[in-house]
Amino acid sequence: MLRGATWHATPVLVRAGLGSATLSVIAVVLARPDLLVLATPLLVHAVGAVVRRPGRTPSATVRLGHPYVREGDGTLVRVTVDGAEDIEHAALALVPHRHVVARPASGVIGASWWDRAPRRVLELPVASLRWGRRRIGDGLVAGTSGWGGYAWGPVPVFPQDLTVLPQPGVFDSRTASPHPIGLVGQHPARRRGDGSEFESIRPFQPGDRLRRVQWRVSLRTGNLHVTSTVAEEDASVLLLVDSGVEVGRSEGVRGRASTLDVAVRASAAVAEHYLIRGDRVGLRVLGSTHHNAVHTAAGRRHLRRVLDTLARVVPGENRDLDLDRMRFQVSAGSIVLVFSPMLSQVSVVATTTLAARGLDVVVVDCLPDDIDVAGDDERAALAWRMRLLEREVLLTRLRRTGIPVVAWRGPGTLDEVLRRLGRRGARTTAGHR
Amino acid sequence: MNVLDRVALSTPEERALRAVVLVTPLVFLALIPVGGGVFHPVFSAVAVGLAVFVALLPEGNAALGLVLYLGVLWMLSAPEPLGGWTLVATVDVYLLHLACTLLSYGPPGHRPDATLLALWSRRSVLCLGAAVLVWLVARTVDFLDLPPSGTVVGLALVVLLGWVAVLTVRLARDGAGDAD
Repeated sequence: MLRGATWHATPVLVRAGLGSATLSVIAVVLARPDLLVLATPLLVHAVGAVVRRPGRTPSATVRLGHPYVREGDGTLVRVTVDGAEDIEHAALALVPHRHVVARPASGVIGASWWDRAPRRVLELPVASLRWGRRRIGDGLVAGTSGWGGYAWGPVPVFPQDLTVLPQPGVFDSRTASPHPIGLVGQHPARRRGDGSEFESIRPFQPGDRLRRVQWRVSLRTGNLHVTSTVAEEDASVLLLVDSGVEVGRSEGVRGRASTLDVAVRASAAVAEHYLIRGDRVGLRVLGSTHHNAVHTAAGRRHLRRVLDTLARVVPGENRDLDLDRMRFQVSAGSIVLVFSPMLSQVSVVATTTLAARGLDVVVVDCLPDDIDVAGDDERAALAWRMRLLEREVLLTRLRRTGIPVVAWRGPGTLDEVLRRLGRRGARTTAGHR
Repeated sequence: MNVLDRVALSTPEERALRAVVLVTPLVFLALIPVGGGVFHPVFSAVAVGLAVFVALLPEGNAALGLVLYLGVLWMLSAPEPLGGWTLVATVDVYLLHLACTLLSYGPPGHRPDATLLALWSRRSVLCLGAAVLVWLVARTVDFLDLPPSGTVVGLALVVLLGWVAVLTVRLARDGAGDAD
């Protein structure tokens, strides 16, 4: 029960005061000193509580230690109580939220103080076990005066916004991008240039640097030869995250993952991998998420932008989405990575549309192996098996049209596919020549 | 939140305090025959029922009823008013009151911190020290076998009724302020 933000007498004071007074009066009237002895501790308690009667009314504010955290990482809910000279003990109880854990697990802490400082701070460590935007820190705070005689509150404290960035899954790729199209980067291009990757040894041409002269070959042939290298360029990657359908139960960063969990964490991992290597990454979320696109750019600040957008992803289809008018703003030569369980029409149409434009499209299958959709319901299990068969047919069709489909398995997921796309690109280029 | 939920959400420390709330009235009831008093099964059963209720809802005003009930039961049953068992009974009632007090500091799941326990250790010494002092004074007066004095009794009553008046005004004012 909320008693408001003023001080009020507690049942402890009522018990100590009225209990001691009643027993003492009976003791005096009936000449029973033993009752007076029984009442004495309560009487001392009541006197102590009345002497420490509080005057000033405190006020409480709540703040979070960090506005952004990674899923699984902790922060502090910090409740500051001002005007707390009369508070001897304060307690904070947070409202429990799904995917948010506190230490202690009950979300209740209390602290007592010997001195009479004007400001008290209660800190409760909390952590969000799943990415997303959370409102945490709401709950009740209460204070008690000396000897437990008077209580302030409980008064509500209001929730604060916490952005929980996805914990990127472990991802690494040793394969270069099939079509690097930028100016500087780490991927070997198809043209000669100032890189470190060996291309050939060829006769010297005006303009070649002297340090590139290949002296052994030059001495053997009698003509100056130089070592030529391929240029190194950056790649452009578009991440397409399908949030239209979420299948499976999300149990947080340490439990089982839903399809959307896998999609978000995998795309975060890939974004981090490419952006740290200096490549350009863009993001498009297919679903009802309000802020659903991040332009293609590079840099660590851009990584924060991508992760922030991924943290805002909410499951659900966007019924107003017009696939014919959908603009992905993806430049030629970009790789498009579609993170999807391929269970929604939108993601299938988007994938085939992008592939039809001649882009390298790779579908990263985000359906976890251990997913349990039906539980003990046999009819639901049968329906889910039929749905999986339909999906299998669809994935086979995609593969036949030249769109590679790989299941997300962390490091090396894209290596083989990118290598194949690179070889295919080289053959195409050779054919054009 | 219902009572059973509150018990289920309690920390081990809170459960221990609830156990103290349950055990101290039983000890009190056991002290009556030990001290030479008469054991009343019906009155004792009522006390046990009250104790269970208070153990489930220690932060309410039911504990006041239990304390008063035990005091009156002691008065009716104990034959030797100032024996050593009176002090044991005083410590017992105080422990009951202290356990209820510590349980009322926070919601279920609240763990009394070390500073709070240290504060109440000091206060307990003061409260029980005062009880021992009153017991010694009462024993001395009883030993001296002074004649009953209407003035002293009247003065004590005035002081007590004054204290009751102050307390009532304070509590009534706090209640009115709270209602505003």
